[in-house]
Amino acid sequence: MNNINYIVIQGRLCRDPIVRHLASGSTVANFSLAANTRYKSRSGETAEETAFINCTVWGKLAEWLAEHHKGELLLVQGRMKTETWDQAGNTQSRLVVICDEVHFLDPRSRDAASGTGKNATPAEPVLAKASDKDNPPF
Amino acid sequence: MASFNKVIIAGNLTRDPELRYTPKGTAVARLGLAVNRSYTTESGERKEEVNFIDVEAFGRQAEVLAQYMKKGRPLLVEGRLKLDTWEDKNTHQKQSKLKVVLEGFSFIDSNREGQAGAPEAPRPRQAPTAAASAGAVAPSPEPDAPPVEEDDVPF
Repeated sequence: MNNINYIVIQGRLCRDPIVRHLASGSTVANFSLAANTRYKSRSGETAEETAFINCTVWGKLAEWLAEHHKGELLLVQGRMKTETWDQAGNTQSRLVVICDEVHFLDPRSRDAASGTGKNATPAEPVLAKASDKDNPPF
Repeated sequence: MASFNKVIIAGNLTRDPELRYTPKGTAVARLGLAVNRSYTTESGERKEEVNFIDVEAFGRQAEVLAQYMKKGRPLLVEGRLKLDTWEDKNTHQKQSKLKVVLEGFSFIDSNREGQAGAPEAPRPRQAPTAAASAGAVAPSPEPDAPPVEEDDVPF
């Protein structure tokens, strides 16, 4: 059975994404987003908490991530997955977000991408670049 | 800057909810959700993976969940991701864990074998408004959430 598992997160890249080309031919990018949440404490003060969220993205989108850098603002949509691994006999686990869509919200990211000289082609419109789907009009 | 941070998951409870109260009297419920996903491998094999996701609820919602939810029951949760950090007592290393803070929920096992004490799916205190009941998720009771102005909706 497939359960609903849907997540939308906006945040800034904590560090440059790590992009790997696997032997199988697929590309995977790992990155971490810092997402801030504002809330009011009991005393009425506005406080802010930051969640650092590990994300994984596959395929063409992963290749695009290589052109983006720490500090840029991203909006990702995907699903949550538990990753488990063994550490000295103990099973560890963590939640990661597997992204279906990545949108680069920072106008700077376009300049940065073309400014690195990595991509010879002129930068495309950021949203169109980020998603295979048609851009919704809102 | 506050970021957009929204999670919607449905799954079955891996254990009974744990209800606690903070020293100030706020109810806190911890739930474990098993969220299934099935997929087909490149070789055409059908596989299923289970994701275990911890959920935390506060206040009245926590009490309602603790009252009506049990291990194995399905639940639809709306919330946000939060990173919990703490220091390990033994190794003094920093540990952290992502979990979902519940903002709204919906019971999705209406009338399963006539549950004792729950003749119909109970609702959190707030009666859902017409707009909120259009979605499947109960409205968030957060008092400080800004009201949505209809004029702000661009479509």
